[in-house]
This record gives sequence, C-alpha cells and structure tokens, in this order.
Amino acid sequence: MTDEKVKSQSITPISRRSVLKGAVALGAVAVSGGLALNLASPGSAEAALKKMPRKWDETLDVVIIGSGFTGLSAAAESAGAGIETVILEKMPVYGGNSIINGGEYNSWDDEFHLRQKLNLGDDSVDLHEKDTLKGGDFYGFPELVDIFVKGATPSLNWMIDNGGLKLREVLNRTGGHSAYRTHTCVEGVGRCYTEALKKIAEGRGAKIRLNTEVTWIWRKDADLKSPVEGVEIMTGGKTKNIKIRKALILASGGFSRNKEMRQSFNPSIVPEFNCTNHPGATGEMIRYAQAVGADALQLAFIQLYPYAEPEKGLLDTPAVYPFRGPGFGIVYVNKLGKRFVNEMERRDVVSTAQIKTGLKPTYSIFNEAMIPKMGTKEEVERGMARGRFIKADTIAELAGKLSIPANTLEETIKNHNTYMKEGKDPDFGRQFTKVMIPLEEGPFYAIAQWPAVHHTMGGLRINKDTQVIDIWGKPIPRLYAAGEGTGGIHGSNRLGGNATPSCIVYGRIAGTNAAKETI
Amino acid sequence: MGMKRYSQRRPITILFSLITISFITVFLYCTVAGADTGAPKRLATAQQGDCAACHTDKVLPENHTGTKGMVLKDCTACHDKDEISLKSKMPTSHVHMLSGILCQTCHGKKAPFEKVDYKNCITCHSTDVLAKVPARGVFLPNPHNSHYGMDVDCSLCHFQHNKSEFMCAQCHDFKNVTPSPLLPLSFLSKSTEEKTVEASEKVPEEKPPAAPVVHASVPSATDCTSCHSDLKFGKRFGQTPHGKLNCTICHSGITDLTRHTNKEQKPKLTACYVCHSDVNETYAKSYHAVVAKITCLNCHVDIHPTRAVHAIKDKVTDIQICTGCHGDQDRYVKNGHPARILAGNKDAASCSDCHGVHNTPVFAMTDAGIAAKRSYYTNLCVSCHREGGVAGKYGVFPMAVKTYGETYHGKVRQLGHFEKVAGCPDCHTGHNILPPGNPASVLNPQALVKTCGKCHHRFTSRFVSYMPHPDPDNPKQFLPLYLTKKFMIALLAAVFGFFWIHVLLWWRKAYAEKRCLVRGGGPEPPAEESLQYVRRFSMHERVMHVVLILSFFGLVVSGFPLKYPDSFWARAFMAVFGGIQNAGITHRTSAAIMWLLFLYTCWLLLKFLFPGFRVKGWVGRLFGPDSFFPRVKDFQDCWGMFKWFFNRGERRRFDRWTYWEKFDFMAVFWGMLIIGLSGVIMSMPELSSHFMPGWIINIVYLAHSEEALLAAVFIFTIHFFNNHLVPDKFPLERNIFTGSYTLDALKRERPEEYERVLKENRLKEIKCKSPGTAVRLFAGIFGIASVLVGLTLTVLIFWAVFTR
Repeated sequence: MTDEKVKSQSITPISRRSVLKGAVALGAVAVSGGLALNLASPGSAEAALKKMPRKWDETLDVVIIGSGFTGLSAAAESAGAGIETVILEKMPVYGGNSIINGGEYNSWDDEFHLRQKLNLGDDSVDLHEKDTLKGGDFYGFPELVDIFVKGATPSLNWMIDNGGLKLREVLNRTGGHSAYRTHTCVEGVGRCYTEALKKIAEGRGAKIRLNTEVTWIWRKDADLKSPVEGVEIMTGGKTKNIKIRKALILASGGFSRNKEMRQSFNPSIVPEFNCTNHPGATGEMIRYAQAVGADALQLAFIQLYPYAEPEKGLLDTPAVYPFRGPGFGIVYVNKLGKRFVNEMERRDVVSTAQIKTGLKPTYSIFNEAMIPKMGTKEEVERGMARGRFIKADTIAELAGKLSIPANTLEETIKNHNTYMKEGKDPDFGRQFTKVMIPLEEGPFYAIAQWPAVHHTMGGLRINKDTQVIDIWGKPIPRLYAAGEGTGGIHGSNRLGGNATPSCIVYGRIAGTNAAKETI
Repeated sequence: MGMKRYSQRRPITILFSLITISFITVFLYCTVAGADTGAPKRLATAQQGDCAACHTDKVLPENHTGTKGMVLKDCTACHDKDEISLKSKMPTSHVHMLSGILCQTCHGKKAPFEKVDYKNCITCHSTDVLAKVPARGVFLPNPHNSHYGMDVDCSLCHFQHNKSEFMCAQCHDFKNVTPSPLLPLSFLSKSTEEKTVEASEKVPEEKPPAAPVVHASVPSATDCTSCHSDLKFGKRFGQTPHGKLNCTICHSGITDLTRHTNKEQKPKLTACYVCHSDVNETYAKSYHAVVAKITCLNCHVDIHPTRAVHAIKDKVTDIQICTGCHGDQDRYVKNGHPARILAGNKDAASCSDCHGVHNTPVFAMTDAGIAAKRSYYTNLCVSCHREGGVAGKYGVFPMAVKTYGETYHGKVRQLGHFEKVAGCPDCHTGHNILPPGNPASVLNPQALVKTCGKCHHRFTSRFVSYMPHPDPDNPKQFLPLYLTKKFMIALLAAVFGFFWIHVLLWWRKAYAEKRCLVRGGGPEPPAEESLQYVRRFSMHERVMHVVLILSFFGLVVSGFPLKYPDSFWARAFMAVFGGIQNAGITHRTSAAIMWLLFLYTCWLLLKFLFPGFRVKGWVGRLFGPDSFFPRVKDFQDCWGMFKWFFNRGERRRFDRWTYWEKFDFMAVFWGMLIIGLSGVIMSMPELSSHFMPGWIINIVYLAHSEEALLAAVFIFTIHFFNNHLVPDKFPLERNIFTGSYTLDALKRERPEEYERVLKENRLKEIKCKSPGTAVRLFAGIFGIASVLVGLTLTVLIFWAVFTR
C-alpha cells in the first residue's frame, strides 16, 4: 500500500470498517511498504520493526504447520495432488496430541458395518449431527458439523484401505451420544490413525521436518487481496524464512498446555488443573494468525477430560475405560460410595459433577464381563500392575481397597442394578439399553479419575472450505486452518470421539483446497 | 555546542572504553585459558581407552588401572553394577568409541562432517529388538515401544556428546535411566530371537583390535583353568560378580606361563583396593583393619566359591559371615535381633546394620572416645526405635527414645557429654537384647541391680524401681508422675496467670497516670523531704540479697541448659562452664549457698518471732506490720489495687511490706521445699534409695524442673516488674542495694509506715545519710546488670520453650 492509497482512503466516507482496518494496518502501511503486518506485543520494539524479509531462504508450495491428524491428512491430500508438501513440526517427535490420544473415532458406519454386526441398534448421519450439536449446546455451526459427520465414514474407510488401519471389533456408546458409534483401533491409542495417515502422506511424497518451529506468519497488510506470503521458522537455533507459493495450512492444534492463554479466555480454568495434552499444545499459531488479521471465536470453551489419572493428569490407556464404559453399564461413584451424576452425560457435565463432590478423586466401577466390550484383558492387567485398576472379588472388598464405606457402595451398586432391570433411574435419570451389564457378578474393578484440561473448542474462524476468515468476514488468501486450532464446530463441549473425525475430514479438505491454489 | 557536549561526555566515554577493554581482556583470557581448563577436546584421532587424549584433566580416580587399549568389554568387566555403570554415566559417544565405533563411522571422514541422523543409528541398532525387550517392572517400562511407536529419533534420549536424559520423564513418573545400565546394547541381527544377550560382542564392521595391548603377553582365563580346573575356578566363579574378569587382573605378576608352571614365577599378592578404592578408603579406618588387622579375603572367602553362589547377600548370610570369627552363638546369635532375622524378620538389625560392613568404627578409650562410641551406637538404636521407626511395626514401646530424652541420661547425652551417662546399649546391652519379661534379660527385675550397678554404687534394691523411660503423659504407665505433671502445670498456670494479669493492668494504669501527671505538671515535692534519706534495709539484709541473686543466677545458668539441652544456647553455656562437670559443681555450690541462706533466714524469722526466747506476743508479731506473714489487710490491698487498676478507687496505702513483696518472700518457702528437697534427693540418688524407692526420683526430677521454670520466670518477669520496672521506679529500685531511700519516697510508697513511724516517733531512728557514691554506683551497675541478665535468660528460656 502506498501513501497515495492511504490518502484516498481518508477522503472516502469513513465507515467503521475502514477505520478499524486502518488501525490494523497502522504503522506498517503508513511508514513504508516494506514492513509486514504485525500486531505482536504492541509497543514493543519488535512490533514496530518486523520487516518483511528481503530474500527468502527457501520456497515451498504447500506448508503445513503441525503433524497431528489434521496436518497429516492435509499433507496426504495435498501431496496426493502432486504438489510439493512439507509439514513443519516444532516438537522432536511427530504426531502432537493425536499420537497419544485415546484412539476413539466416531462414525455412524464403516466398511465392516460393525454396528449391525454387533447388533447395537440404529444410527445415522442425522443422529450423529444432532448429538454433536446438542452436546455443544448449539454453539456449533450446523453446516460445519454436517461436513465432518458426513465425511467421517469415508475417511475411516480411506485409512483402513490405504493406510492399513486396523479396528477392534467393538463399538462404544460414550457420554453424550445416543448410539453405539465410537470406533476403537487395535493399538488403543491415536498412533494407529497417525501411522496410517503418515503412511499415506509420506507414500505420496509429503515430508515432515521435526524440531522446526514457526515463529511468524508473513503477510504484508490486511487488504482483502493481500495473501499470506511465507513463514519465519526457527530450526537448529537458526531463524530462516520460507516463501509459500500455494498455501499455508495451520494444523497446529489447541492451547490446553498454555496456562496463561487458557486462563485469559476462561478464568475458571485455573493453572492448578492438570492437563492431558503433550507439552507442545501451546496455541501460539492462533495468536500469530490473529496478528495478521484472522478472526477467532469461542476461545472460552475449554474442555475438561473427566477421567484423567488424578495425580499427573495423564490420559493413559486405563483413563479411556471410564469414557468407553457408560454404554455398557459402568458406574461412577464418589469417595463416599455414592453416584453423583448420570454416567451417560457429556464430559462437561461429568467434570462439573466431579468437582462438586469436593472429594478427589472419584471412581469408575465395572466388572469382568464389561472388559472385552471396552478394551482387552491385557490392557487391564497392565493397568493393574501399575496400580491404576483395582480388582476385588466382591463390592465390599473393592470398597475396602478404595477406603470408601462398604455398605454405601454395596447399596449404591444394588440400587443401580435394580434401576437397570426396571429401566428407570430415579436418582439421575440414566438411560438404559439392552446391552448394558448389571454389576452382579465379580470380579469387580475400579479406577480413579479426576478432570484435567483436555481440549480447546474455540479457535480460528474458518468457512466450509477451511479458509481462515479475517475480522471483516472475508477469507485471507492462501491461509487455511483445520483441527483443534479452529472454532465453531464442537460448540461449547466436544463429544468424545468427535475430534479425530473432524480433524481428519477438515484436514483433507484443507489439503485438497490448498493444492488447488494457483501460483 | 558540539565541543561542550564532548567535554561533558568525556568521563563517560573513558569509563565506557575501560569497561569494553576489560571485557575484551577477560574474554581473550578465557579463550586462551579455556584451551587448558575448558571442555574436553573432541579428537577424532584419539585411540580407544586413551582418556587423556581428550581429557587433559584427570577424569579417572587416582589408583584406577591403566585404560590404554581397553575396549568396552574390559571396562564392563568391573563396571557392571548399577551404581558404577559406565554406560549410563558417560556420554554415549564414549560407549561407541570403546566399542570401536569411531567418530568417522557416523560423521564421515571429511569435513564438513555430517549431522548424524536417526537413520545412521538404525543401521547398527535394531528397533525391532529394542521394542521386544521386556519391561523390568511397573515403573521401568521399555521406552522403545511407547505410544510414540518404535521409530523415534534415538537422540531424543541418547545424547552423544552430553550425559543422556530420559524424555518420557517429562510427563511420566518412570524410573528408567538412559541408557539402561543393566541391559546389553541391542543391535540389528539376522535372527532376532537369539541375539539379545551377547549383542555387545556383535559390533559390526569396524571391529576393534582382537585383544587389547596390555593383555597381549598375559595368559588368558582358559590358560589358567586348564590347570586350575576346580569347579570353583570355572563355572561357579563365572557366576560371581568377578566372573567376567580375567584371572590375571587380580592375580597379576605372571608374564610367562612356562616359568609359572615351573613354579619360578608366582602371582603377586591380590590387591583388591586397585578396583575397590572407595571401599578401601573407609575400610582402612575401620576396627577390622586397625585393631584386628583383617584383610578383605578373611571375610570375602567366597571369591572362588566352594558351593553354589547366592546371587544376593541377605541378612542371614551377613550373620553367617560375621559368626565365622565371632563364633559365640549364645552371645551373638541366639537372642535379640539376629534371632529375629533367622526367624524370618527382614527388618531386624543384622550385624552389619549396627557395626557396618567396611566401616566398623574404632573408638579410643578416652572420655571423648567413650562418648563417641555411646553416641554412635545409641544413634543407631534410635534410628529404628524412635517414634515412627521400623521397630514400632513389631510392637516395641514406641516412646522409648522420646521418654529417654526427657530423663537426666537423655538430656546429658544431648548436651554432648555422653561419657557421663548411659546410652541404650549400656542398660540393654549390645547383643542378646531381650525384653524385661524374659528371665535371661539384663532388664529382668532380678538382674537390674547388677545392670544399674555397672554405673551406680551403694544403693538398695529399691533403687531399680527408677523408670528410665517415664512417660508423664500416660497415666496408665506411671500415675504419680502423670499427676505430678498435671499439678505442676496447674501451679505454673495459676501463678503466672494471676501475676501477669496483675503486671499488665498495673502497667496500663501507671502509664495512664504518668501521662496525666506530665500534663498537669505534677506536684513538686518539698526540697527537704526529697533530700532526707531513711533506712529501709540493713547492711545484713542487703548482703543477703546480693548473695541470693548470685546463687540464683548460678543455679539458673547451670541448670537450664540441662532442662533445654536441644536449644541453641545450651551447648554454648556448657562451653563457657568448660564442661558439664563444672556446671554440676556450680549448680551444687549455688544450691548449698542458697540452702544456707534459707536456713539463716529461718533462724532470723525465729528470732523475729521469739526475740530473746520470748514466746509471749508472737501472734501479734506474726500478724504485725513488720511481719512477712500475710494478714487480712493484704487481701484487701490486693483487691484495692485491682480496683485502682480499673480506675475504681484510690491507690492503696501500704505499710512496710506490700502483698507482692510478701508473696515473693513466702514463695521461697514452698520453692525451697519442692526444689531444694528434690535437688538434695537427686544429688545423691543412690543414698536416697535407703529412704525411698527409685521411682520417687522420676517424680522429684519433674517437680524440680518445672518448679525451676516457675521460679526463674517468676523472678525475671514478675518480681522485676513489681520492684524495678514498674514505670515509677524504672529502671531500678536501688534501695535493696543502697539500703535507704528518701523520706519523700517512703511517704509516697508506704504512707502507713510513714505515719506509724511518726506516731511511734521513730523518724529520727531511721533517718540516715544519703548513700555514698561508691555504694550508689555499685547498686546501679549490679542492679541493672542483674535485671538485664535476668531478662536475657528469660528470652532464652522462652525461646527454648516455644521452639521445642
């Protein structure tokens, strides 16, 4: 933008938008055309002097930031279109949160038609959509939900066919869902999906660069036609600039590990909360995108995972059992041996109920018969060796081992069994299904659980094509985003098992669209 | 303008240049010096085992065997245990180097040297094999097959040029060490099933020289075992920790096999210390080395095992080894701790738990040596028998240590004079420790006379009813002591409660009044009365008070360190006395003086009541105004003073002795009764057993101690305030030292006495000259010093009470 243009703007009737726009572009535009758009730490020396690089160290077609589900899916599609694709990953290992997640994938169907095979009732795209919208208190945009729910099944089959993904022959009905649609992979951890995606992406020529941190997004100004031009990266202690010819895809995830950021949007998420995420989930890419004009929404919606390991907040393999269990009759009790919530409830409801008990931790109670429905005997035995699962032959013995009152726990379980038989829960209104197993026969198991920060629902505003929308409501040219770093999909509360399909479906869309950009 | 600015800036410029120059100098110096002292060089040409090539400073311990030409296998022959593992201690590049993987194998031969990628690592190391290594426990999982899969960059944990780190520990509570000191290195292998164990031998391609240089002319293990063919040199030896060593490492000196077989060349004496230098250092100072002159092999008889080897030495083998020499089974093994171990209790103390393995201490037979020995062994007993210690698990009296610490024995121990008093093993003995109920026990009632008699003499059998571990808080164990403690607490609380409130209220009132006086200007006393002195105390009485003060301080400073032996000042006081012996002499001397003073006072009282053996009129004298005995007026005065404190009446008109002065005086009687008599009993505990049972000593000990606290704090706070620190006398009432005060003061403080004197026309009788300068100076210095010493002691006592 030149001085002349600034002048012409000031002559035209001043709209609110142009004043704001002027403010965004302020110093950079007015002083000289060589400066980049930059809102970082206003007032600091850096903010005034962030100059567009004169020469670029490297030029790439499509650059993807982050190597989780989203980044790998995008890379697979972009590289699949024959475009040079590079993933930049700041951590020393690939996969981010995705590789350590619980391995849950919601899809109404799959190529094996597991639901019908296991005789677990009905489901449909429509029902999945309704559950997702309702679970997020209708804060999610229906058109965005529609896309990922419809895309979930084809993407699952795509990973099975092209990536060698293997599923367990089980389906779970997890909190907030009204059908058995939660798929689990053989490894029981998100690595099975990332490995499948990585296999597809690398097979198609995408490259992953580890230990490479993006430290800035280059964009000249906030003009609607001004595209993202490149990124500044830090690798091996050196700063370099990469010019991007086609598109930049932000697949960098949320900010659960950034205590300051999460509390700045939601003061109730105090620093004392544990976190299930990997240490790199610090959300700085959301801030950089905002600094070049991107809009963000719903950043206050931060999810607590109710079943994390109480001491350090790990979401280890045992910590997934309480999440998978409700559909098969798992019971949550507090330290007094009483139920405190409808087990079929969403994560936010369960977390709040746990915190309200005021007694850390709470426990999930299940029996031997439920284990094959939720996981494997080996997993449970490994968990027992680590002291995560507690086993006992009777409820009273279990109560003794957990040091909770035996009479109360026995009564609670007895009552719950009766409710299950009668199909009605007068205490918390639990919905019962035919496949649920009453806690009548031992051995019984328990696992301690307590909420930890797990997922940030808010993030950058995107449209159906995953283009990042600026604060004026228009797409920023050549900038795409998908995954946990974007907002408006899951609403106020993400249902468990929905993150993986939404990341993969939107990642694929971003990759496809980025590849189509003209040079 | 420009010139001016320049001249102003010049000093700054010079300063700036100087700073810059000095920085540059320091930097240059560091760079040059760094070549000598900084990080080790990374010489690509360095040979295996040539530590000094890169490390200019010495990295190996003083008497380490030469490492030239050694390969990793030679190192791990000795360093195969967790705590001295080289693999986990050295940067991984050293392990590579010693295994024959030289710098250029990974980095390439020519500059610029390539960055080493994960792909380089997996050309030798097998991720498949690594992934199959089983976990070694719940918190020692195999990190090579985690949720990150198997293809993780090795250099995340295995640093080549720095000490490695364990990445998983960022989130998890695992206890792994990188690289694991226990597991062999895993390499790519053709048939993955067999090759996990001997993998370290399978260094591919760049094989190190077949035999290390130093070993070239020396016989190999197979040479030796061809003659020395016993099982103990062969298979069984192979299973011992030394099993991997070549025979000649210990049996050095054989260079020529033929000469050796011709019995011309014998091996040198085995020098264990060459490798076990750390043990050797401690052992050289131990009893076995210094006194018994025993060498390593006297105890370590199983180096070449004659029977199947126990992998882990447990407490039972520990006992077996020691009883090899200390063979008296009845004395050492039959009862007490060892018996418990042999019965299967792993927590009981074995020989080495108390006596150490290589550090069995030697103690001189001097006072200091005896004290050190008692202290050493008593501390060991305490480590298990303290409250919450291991011994508590087996129902042993949990308060043993705490209650012992409250007795004379325990307190003198804390003061550091353990040569004077009994520690645990003195009564309980060191071996054969049995509960009192056992007839064989030294604590059995029959045996106690003998046990106590080791230190105490000339006592009757009643003496042994003294309780060495009394718990005053447990009425079931010892009711009289419990009641005594409760009574003493009540007494202290009542006296302090009453008088401290009295003091505070008085203080407030006195200040309020003083302020009014200052505002109103105050009445000027007539000049004559303020100059006329009257006698209050005779020379006799003044000297008595000074002697009392001195003896009282003598008692406090010599007694309180024993009452609070764990306070920071207790040992300092003992040091000033020059040992507890002198403190004890001081305490007893002061006590004797005070007793004499007390008896003399009693005599004076009798003289006062029955002057010239005249009995008649003693009631009148007892309750008269000159008597110290309380009368009705005192109670009225007390009540009246409280009213005055609350502005509900006039200040009371006192006669010769006020009620608080009488209390001070009368308190001596009960004080001497409790503290004096108990002191006499304790000063001769054995003799007292002819008159009373031993447990009385427990009672009088507690009473003496608590009464002492009452007396000291009462004098240093309440007496000082009432007589010296009260605002209208502050800082000192001198008349107890000078003997006289002004007529004006008499009139003001004791109006009734003044009027009585006038009525009885005795004014002339008591009038005297003003005290001389010398007397006043003495009174001021001695008085103020006493007050200050007392207040300081109060602070120290309170410190001790509240930091216990």
